[in-house]
Amino acid sequence: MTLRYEYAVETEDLAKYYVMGPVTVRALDGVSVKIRRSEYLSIMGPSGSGKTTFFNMVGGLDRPTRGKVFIDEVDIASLDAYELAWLRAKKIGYIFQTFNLIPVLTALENVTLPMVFTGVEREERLRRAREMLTRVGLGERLDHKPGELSGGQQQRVAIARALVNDPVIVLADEPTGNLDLHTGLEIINLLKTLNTEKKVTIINATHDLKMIDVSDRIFWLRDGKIERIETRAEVAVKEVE
Amino acid sequence: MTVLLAIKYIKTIKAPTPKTSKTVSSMLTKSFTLITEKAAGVKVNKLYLRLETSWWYGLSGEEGVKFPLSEAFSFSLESIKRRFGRALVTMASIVLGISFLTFLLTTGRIVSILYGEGSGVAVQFYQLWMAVIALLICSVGIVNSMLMSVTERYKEIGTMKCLGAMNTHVLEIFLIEALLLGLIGGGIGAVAGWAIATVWQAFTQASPVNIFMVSASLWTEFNASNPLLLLANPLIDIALSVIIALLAALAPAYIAAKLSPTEALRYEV
Repeated sequence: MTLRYEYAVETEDLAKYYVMGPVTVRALDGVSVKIRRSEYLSIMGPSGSGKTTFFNMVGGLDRPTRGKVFIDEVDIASLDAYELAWLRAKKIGYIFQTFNLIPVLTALENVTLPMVFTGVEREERLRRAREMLTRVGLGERLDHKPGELSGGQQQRVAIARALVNDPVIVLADEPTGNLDLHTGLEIINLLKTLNTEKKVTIINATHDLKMIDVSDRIFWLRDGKIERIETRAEVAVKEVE
Repeated sequence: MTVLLAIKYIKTIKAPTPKTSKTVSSMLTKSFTLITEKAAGVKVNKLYLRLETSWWYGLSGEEGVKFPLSEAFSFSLESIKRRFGRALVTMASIVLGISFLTFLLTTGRIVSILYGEGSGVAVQFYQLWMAVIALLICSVGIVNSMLMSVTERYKEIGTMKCLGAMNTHVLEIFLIEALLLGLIGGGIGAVAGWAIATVWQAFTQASPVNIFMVSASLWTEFNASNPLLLLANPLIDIALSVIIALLAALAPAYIAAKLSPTEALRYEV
């Protein structure tokens, strides 16, 4: 039985402080947000505003100092290591600025890897990975290693890897940060298409303004706090003015 | 009402069953704390739903991350194959250390068997020291290369963890790799050391046939009462190499496995 919750992600007063000698850096300072299912969301802000910290907290990659994160209505702080691993494997797909593919594995093997952890049969794994890579436009480059692919292609492999387990949320940390303007735009459009097709929630931490055009909502982050939340329409109106 | 029902349900389950893996009761107790925590709040209904339908409730069945040993084994094997250059460097230190050790002990054994145990005490003492030093050199080399091969893959470990690998899975991969390297390196080293010692003795001493017979007999010599004699068996040297490789990989692999994904990903070599 699956119940469709309204919110894929909820945070309550989420905060992360780093103590560096005598100084306490408030990377994230009381963020409470609700992110709906199949929403395409961008978190924008200057570097150091807490985007990546937010990304790490929501993705269950790091523990918050204060506050809670709910994924599919479950408080992830209450999960043990085994459940947390399942959350990362099955519920969340990660996309990084630096792609983070396994260098010794081919594109196909990189995409099959998450399915190893979720216990998918070998044949089924290969079939789904091929299908997913074809979907992102890399059907011809299955057996290439990451080193033999361009930045944009590597990011496509990473996107395929993030989506192959049909996660609830895809978290992307500066997905276009290492790409040129044109390739970046292609990646943004690909993410948007997959968002519409698969109804997957996509959360981007970015300072790439091209993202605004496809985002349903934009969270503006400054000094670890939500400065304002805007919908795409609101941003568009501002631009006209 | 729902709270009462839930509490009632939980109460029917007595003391938590022995902590095997994911039992339903442990799930329920967890939900129970969640419910009591917010019993007064408006979220109670939702929490009860969590108890019934949330995805981690399903973990007690077929779901949950998996990484069977066969997968870990093939992953490690692939990793050695693909990084063959790196593996060769690691293996070279094992081969050199173990072959040096085996060479010394085989030579010592041949000499003492053929020319009597009479001069025994002095020879054995000198042999022991040489063996200890050879072992130390061997261990330091292996520890060093294992350390390197783990630390240069921190980023990969971080990625694996984001994809659902648990600490134990990471540890498994590295220990299997160490086992394979220890086995192959130790095998080559022991055979090489033994063969060189035998051939060298055969050339310098009087009766080659006799020497081949003696050195061949070393492979089946299991004298547990004398550790030095035991070590002179090349098979034991291979086992020793596996043990050293495992111990050497254990510390760095454990540290790497314990890293949080963010720390591992941030790590620059």
